[in-house]
Amino acid sequence: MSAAISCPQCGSPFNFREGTRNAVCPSCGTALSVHGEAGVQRFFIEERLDLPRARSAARKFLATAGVDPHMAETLKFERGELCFLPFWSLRALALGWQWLEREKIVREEIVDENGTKRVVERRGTNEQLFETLASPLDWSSPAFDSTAFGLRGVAVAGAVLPLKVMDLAALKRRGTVFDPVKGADQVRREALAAARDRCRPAGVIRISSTIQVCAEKLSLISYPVWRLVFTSGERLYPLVVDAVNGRILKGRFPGRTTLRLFAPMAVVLQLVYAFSLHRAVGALAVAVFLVWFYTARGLSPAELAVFFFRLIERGEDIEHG
Amino acid sequence: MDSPMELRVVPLLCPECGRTLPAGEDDALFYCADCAVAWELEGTSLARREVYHLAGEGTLFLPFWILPFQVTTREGTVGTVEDYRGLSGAVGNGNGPARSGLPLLYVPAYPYQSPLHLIRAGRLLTLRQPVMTLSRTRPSRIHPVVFREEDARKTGATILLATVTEDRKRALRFLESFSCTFGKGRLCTIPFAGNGSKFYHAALNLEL
Amino acid sequence: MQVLCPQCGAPTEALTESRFHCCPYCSSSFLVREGRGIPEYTFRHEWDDRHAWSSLASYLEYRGLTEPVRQDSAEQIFFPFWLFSSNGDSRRLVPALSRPFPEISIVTIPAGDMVFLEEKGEYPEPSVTLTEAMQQFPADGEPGKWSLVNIPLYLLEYSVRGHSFTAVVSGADGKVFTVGSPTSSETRLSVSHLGMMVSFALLLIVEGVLIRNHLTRAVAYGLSLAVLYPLYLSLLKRELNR
Repeated sequence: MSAAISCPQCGSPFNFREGTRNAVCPSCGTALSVHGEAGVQRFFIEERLDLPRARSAARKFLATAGVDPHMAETLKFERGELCFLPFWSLRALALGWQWLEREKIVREEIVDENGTKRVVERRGTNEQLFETLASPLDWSSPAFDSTAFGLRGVAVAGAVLPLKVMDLAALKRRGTVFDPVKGADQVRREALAAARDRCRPAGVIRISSTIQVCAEKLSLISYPVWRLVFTSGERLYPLVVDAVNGRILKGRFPGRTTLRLFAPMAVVLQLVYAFSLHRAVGALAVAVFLVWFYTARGLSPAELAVFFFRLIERGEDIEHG
Repeated sequence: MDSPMELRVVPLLCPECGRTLPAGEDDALFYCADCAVAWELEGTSLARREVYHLAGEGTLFLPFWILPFQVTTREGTVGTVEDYRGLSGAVGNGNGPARSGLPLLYVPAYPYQSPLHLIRAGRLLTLRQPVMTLSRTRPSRIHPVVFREEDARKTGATILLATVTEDRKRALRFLESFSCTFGKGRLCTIPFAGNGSKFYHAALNLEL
Repeated sequence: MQVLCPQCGAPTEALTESRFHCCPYCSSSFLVREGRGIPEYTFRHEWDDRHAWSSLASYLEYRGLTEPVRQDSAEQIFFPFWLFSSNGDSRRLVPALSRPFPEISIVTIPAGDMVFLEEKGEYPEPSVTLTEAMQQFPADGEPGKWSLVNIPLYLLEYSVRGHSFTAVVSGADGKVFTVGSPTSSETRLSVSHLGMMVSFALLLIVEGVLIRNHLTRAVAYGLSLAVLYPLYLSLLKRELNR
């Protein structure tokens, strides 16, 4: 990802890649070092959708995602808020070591009295292994409680997105800037825990390891989302729309209701008719029906009751980022 | 509750001679060839770091952080090169008196292909404990320096542990008792010959 | 006495225990406890009970509840919490007020815009002192700072099937905190649907008894279906649109 900054010597703007420390101004050739407060570079991603476009993305979702059409029509848009959500991006080296003790299974071929060959597995002496851990870390995680927003990580989105140097005053005029509640230390711990979990072989009896973060480059990137609120009567329905690509990140609406009337009525009709022909025919028809029902839905009194007596089915629609 | 959010852009000009310092994207220190001194960014100003150019044959000057170290384990303290040879199982030159100076850790400070390459290079050089002398000439260009001294110190423990003998590494108690301390680090350059993506040191017969 | 602003260090005159100070230099808000300035924050939120009830309704529906929820009471409160944060991590929230809502102890710091207090507003006085909060969470020498955060919360009381429950909804991000919630009952069937099917079956059975001829009976069954099906359909549609 690249961000636009301006050269202090000649004033011309140019791009530099997030996560790098230095750049050379293409106009005047001066080498520049770019760094942030406490070693953290702060950026934001500019929103591509304005409120009207966010609303139309929401309407499109309501129309096409299987939401109950009657509800979708009666939903009224109440308000929208542009929120800038902070994400940490850590690039570093994870260095350390790992010691583990593993069972060793020894396979032996023995020939018994009858002359047949058998393979016997014995537990051999345990083996101890030492491994130097050295791997690059590229970790991104939300710096806020993301359950309300359905956004997991901006790493995927960030591959080709242009970054801008954080300008708090300008962003606060356009929307709400969320504060990070997770600090750099916790991000490092998370990144290390993920790195550790990657190298866990099977059959381990004991394990001990030490790992630390070196040569880190830390960025805090604020990602824009629209938080829209729709109402239906007294009930509020919030919807979170990605302000860069218009994807619906989180929202929950009642699904389309289906009326299942014909199937139960037809079955009742056929069963009663079969019985009216002859008791045996009726019994046979019931047996056929039960077999079909068993293969379709399993045989339980609850399922049978639902088939015959629940005529309205309500679907639920959830979208999670 | 918010710290200032601006990114600081600092022009990299040698404070002694005023020339633009060469800077790659990931460089942590910047070398001025005219002054033969490296500069490190501290806040918004540049702090001076001496660079020691070591003698040898080669056209590529690879930067290393060289740190004297002491290792404490359940076996005792390793404070001399001889003690270190015992710990690492390295074979000495055979000739010359037993060396009683502090052993030196070599941490490569140039861009690495992968983290394991970095550890391997540091390990090979540290195992050798080469006797090196200062060069009389100063190179006009050195390879980029991508590690600060503090990063080199953090890497140090991993490299040192990698040099220890295999049987010791398999003993958990030894590993848990292992601790090391480092003296003041020096940024040095060692000349290597380039061979595609590999670096070759003739005198030490080392390929990194 | 003189107290230093916790944000910028500027001195101000203040009582040893006082609140709602606004630093004239950096505009931050702080309160004074034991002669020390402690930053005070809140989250921007416009009170709206619908927001809380809707969040609770979504939460319960997600857990399979289909029965109606009776809204008994909702209290809007800028609930004070002592917050301990270290290196940017919000480590611990200690409620500074006591209310009969067990959910308050599991409230987490919301995703939102944490700001200094702008106007006086309705910020209740903490009844738990900072010393008591520090005792509950001994820092163990961990470096960090304490501050007071007023989190907008909705304290809800509701009932389902005659049983009362409580819940707390965080205003800033709509997160729902519950300690006990109603369990979804077994599949409940609508009496009217049952009635429709049973009456249809009964009609067919009566027709079956009265009409002996198989063919005539088949025709009668077909007619019954043709009549009752649209009728039932319209009844169901009316039920949906209610």
